[in-house]
Amino acid sequence: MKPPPRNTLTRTRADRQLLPSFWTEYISARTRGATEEVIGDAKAIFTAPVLQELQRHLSMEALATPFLFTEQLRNRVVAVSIGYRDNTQIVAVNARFKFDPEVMAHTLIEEYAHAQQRINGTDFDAQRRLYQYDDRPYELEAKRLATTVLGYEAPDYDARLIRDEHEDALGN
Amino acid sequence: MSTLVDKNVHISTERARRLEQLACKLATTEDVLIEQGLDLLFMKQDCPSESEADVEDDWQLLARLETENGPVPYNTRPIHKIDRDQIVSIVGATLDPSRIRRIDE
Repeated sequence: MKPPPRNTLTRTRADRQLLPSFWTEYISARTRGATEEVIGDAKAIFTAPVLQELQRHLSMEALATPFLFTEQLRNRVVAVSIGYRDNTQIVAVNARFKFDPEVMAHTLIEEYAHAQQRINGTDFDAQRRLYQYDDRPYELEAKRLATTVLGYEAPDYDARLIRDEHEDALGN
Repeated sequence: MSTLVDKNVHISTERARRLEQLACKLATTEDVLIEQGLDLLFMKQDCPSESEADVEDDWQLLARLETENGPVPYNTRPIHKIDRDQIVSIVGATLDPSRIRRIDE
């Protein structure tokens, strides 16, 4: 068993990377239940130094992708980047789990990297057909960016399921 | 010592048989075993389960964070309905199933 997720940013590496207001939003969503209201974009998640570093790698368009908390995701996903037919995008975070702050920080950078990849025209389906999850170039690139920006690899923490998965849950 | 009262209850034949056997095996009375069983039941009722305690902790944490960082404008902002018919692609960070624990585990 891995260590349980920590409840606050304090004494985690995600402190000074994730905004305290973002963490409060997350605790609200997982406690009160997610409403799928749009919280903001990357500026409402990351602190100024992280945002500045992200701007070196990602476009303003990608970083302007809105995010929300949802109850609709499958158990097997922390968060997803969704692309619509009209070329708009959204980042959705699974509010049914307790995640560690460092896992959350890593994941959200990965999602914004996916938003950039979609803008760049990455063919996700083609890569899925060719590679297993861990070997997909778009996943490797997103994880690499998150590690570069945050300064640590995706950490190994348990995730605690708070509410059960919906019957018609969404996932990649 | 508490005052003893007579109380008639109905239990299944099987439970009655096992209660009698257990009392015999432990060299005690059925009354004592029922009292012990009730103590356990009452203790469970009096103490919140781990998951209930965990949820309570989250509410307390939320209250503290909202005091420090300002209240969350919960359910006051525009809702984005995820329109499944309009989705072209979903990509995301997956969770190793072996890492998932229920909060009461």
